[in-house]
Amino acid sequence: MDFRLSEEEQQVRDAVQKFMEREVLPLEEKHKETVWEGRFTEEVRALGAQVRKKSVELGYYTLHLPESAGGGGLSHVALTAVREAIASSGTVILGLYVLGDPPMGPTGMLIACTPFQKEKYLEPLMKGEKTTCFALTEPGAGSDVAAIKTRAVKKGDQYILNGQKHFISNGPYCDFAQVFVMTDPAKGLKGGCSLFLVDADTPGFTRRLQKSMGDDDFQAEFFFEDCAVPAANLVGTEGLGFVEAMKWLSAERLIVAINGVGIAQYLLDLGVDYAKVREQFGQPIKNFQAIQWMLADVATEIYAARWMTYHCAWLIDQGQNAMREISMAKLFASEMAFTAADKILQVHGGMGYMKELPVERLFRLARLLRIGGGTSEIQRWVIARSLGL
Amino acid sequence: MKIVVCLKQTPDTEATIKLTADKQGIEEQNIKWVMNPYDEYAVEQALRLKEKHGGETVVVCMGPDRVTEAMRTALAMGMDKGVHLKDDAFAHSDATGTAKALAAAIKPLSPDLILCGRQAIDWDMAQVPAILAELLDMPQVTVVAKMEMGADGKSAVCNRRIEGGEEVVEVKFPAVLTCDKGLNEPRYASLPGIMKAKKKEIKPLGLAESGLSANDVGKASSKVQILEYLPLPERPPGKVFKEQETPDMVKQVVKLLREEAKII
Ligand SMILES: Cc1cc2nc3c(=O)[nH]c(=O)nc-3n(C[C@H](O)[C@H](O)[C@H](O)COP(=O)(O)OP(=O)(O)OC[C@H]3O[C@@H](n4cnc5c(N)ncnc54)[C@H](O)[C@@H]3O)c2cc1C
Repeated sequence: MDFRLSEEEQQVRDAVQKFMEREVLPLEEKHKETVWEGRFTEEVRALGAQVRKKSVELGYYTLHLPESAGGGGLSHVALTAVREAIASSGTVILGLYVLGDPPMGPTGMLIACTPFQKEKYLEPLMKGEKTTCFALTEPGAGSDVAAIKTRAVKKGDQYILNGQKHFISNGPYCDFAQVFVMTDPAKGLKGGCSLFLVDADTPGFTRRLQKSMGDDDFQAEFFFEDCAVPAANLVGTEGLGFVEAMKWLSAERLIVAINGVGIAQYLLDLGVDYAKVREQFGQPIKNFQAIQWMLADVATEIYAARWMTYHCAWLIDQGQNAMREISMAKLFASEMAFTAADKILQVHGGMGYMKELPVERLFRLARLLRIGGGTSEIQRWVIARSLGL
Repeated sequence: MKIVVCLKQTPDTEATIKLTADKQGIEEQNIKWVMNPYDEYAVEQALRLKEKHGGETVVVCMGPDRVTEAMRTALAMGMDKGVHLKDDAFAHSDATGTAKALAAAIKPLSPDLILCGRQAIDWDMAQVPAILAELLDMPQVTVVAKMEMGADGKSAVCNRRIEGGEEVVEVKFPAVLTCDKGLNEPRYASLPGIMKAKKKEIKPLGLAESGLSANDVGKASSKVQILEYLPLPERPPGKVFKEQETPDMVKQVVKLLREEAKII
């Protein structure tokens, strides 16, 4: 096992970190009033687009795509390092615009698209001119993905979509959606589920903002009512949309894991600093063993989660099927991040609960990691299956 | 036009510096090394001049193997090629020794312009560029915050930051300029830049090839001998006044500021 980055990979990672420190974080600081709310107001999205434009120019935005598709062709280990640098920078929201990861940016599953789709969808995504979203979950189909009911029926050179999606990140703001629908319900996920690209302004497609914890505004509910989508917008083979997407989805779970590691690391640094300056009972609280142990535990768990994540990335780079290890890393890192957020909030006492510090916001964000990308229970289920249970 | 940038690799500004047990240097383990931040302005300036006026940009750096990382960053930003002064004999050179080595590497290149950072953020001496200019018999302008190329392409008008204002000077090429913050906004290494840098040449230059002798550089030649490094003294604990009447406390604080801290 060797997680060392090549000299170029190290440079890319350092360059992105520099970009975060000199470009993104100062921009967030300058617009603190709006940005710190962590909401996707028009102003914040405009700032995000500004960051994205620069990132596209520098070639960072598509680092995660293969070179053959015009991306950076970075190894998964190097990508993990880049993502960790972004997540641990303490960015509030604009960091989301640096790398074109899901939900907003171009995903690997779009690479195999047709020349028409490439020109209309993939290229504008890669240039940061458009954003997208990943619409899988439905009110009746969360963990049980196979239960999706949204249907597409072929009619001439169109497909007619009917159904509903919810909790879709970037749903309120995307230019087009990647929507998974049943084209042959009898065949289920493996053979009956297809992927369509649906423009946001397609008649019969409406969306509604769904507010979430902390009044956040990044998710939407989608309704398709006799929504006619050109057959040319079908991605890949009819019926194999989900099967083909799975190739990318499992590696994308790792993004959740490294985000957890990055967030926890940033929180730990905050906690250590705070423990040194906050005084009670006539001394800094860092002197209390109870505080020291919380910080020591967080540091230790970060270490474990970090190496699990890098190891998974390395396995993927070796061309190995790391499905179960990825589930383990996602499970461990997301649970770890939440525990870490909880402990660091505790270290800050009441101040940790106040909006003046980023701790409460990261606490909320960390909570999501245990749900998004497959809940912790579903990861355990995957792991258990691999044990023959 | 040919532009040379002298570069130094320094510890990251955020690095925690620990002294070695013999107090003769710093612990190099676990230190993150970066391009001296002031040198980034020099690199950026060289690239902008090249973009506007054409020519070639060369980065010159002295140091052990690790310094090629900083050189690669400069190449990734867009510099054309590098010369790496690399020889055990160069180790522990003082400012004069360093400038001698740089001059030996630069002279055969016959540059029109040599750009340096205003100082290296580790030793803060700001001497190398001045000595270099002297050795190469070139004029020097230090702490340049603004630079305008002359119409003849063979001179520049530079604004130097001085106490309370700026000094505007004209300088004829070839010249040595040291760059200050504010001169420009250094670019980030782009992905294509980083990939291209892989193939750019970094030419190693040892003592023999440089034409210098062992007496010119290194510890032996140093006119300045470093005796030892000392850590910053521990900050004395602050004095806290509390649980008294405010006017009394204010009086005590003012008295101490005047008599002990002597700052008012
Ligand atoms: C903020 C946010 C953003 C999201 N973004 C997107 C997006 O962009 N695109 C998208 O498609 N989806 C998105 N989702 C949906 C997310 O993937 C689902 O919420 C998640 O997969 C869980 O589904 P569910 O909410 O329906 O919960 P349910 O499946 O109803 O689960 C409820 C509980 O039951 C447990 N459970 C379910 N099945 C089992 C089982 N077999 N064994 C044991 N326990 C079980 C779960 O772990 C959970 O604890 C997002 C969700 C959130 C909260």
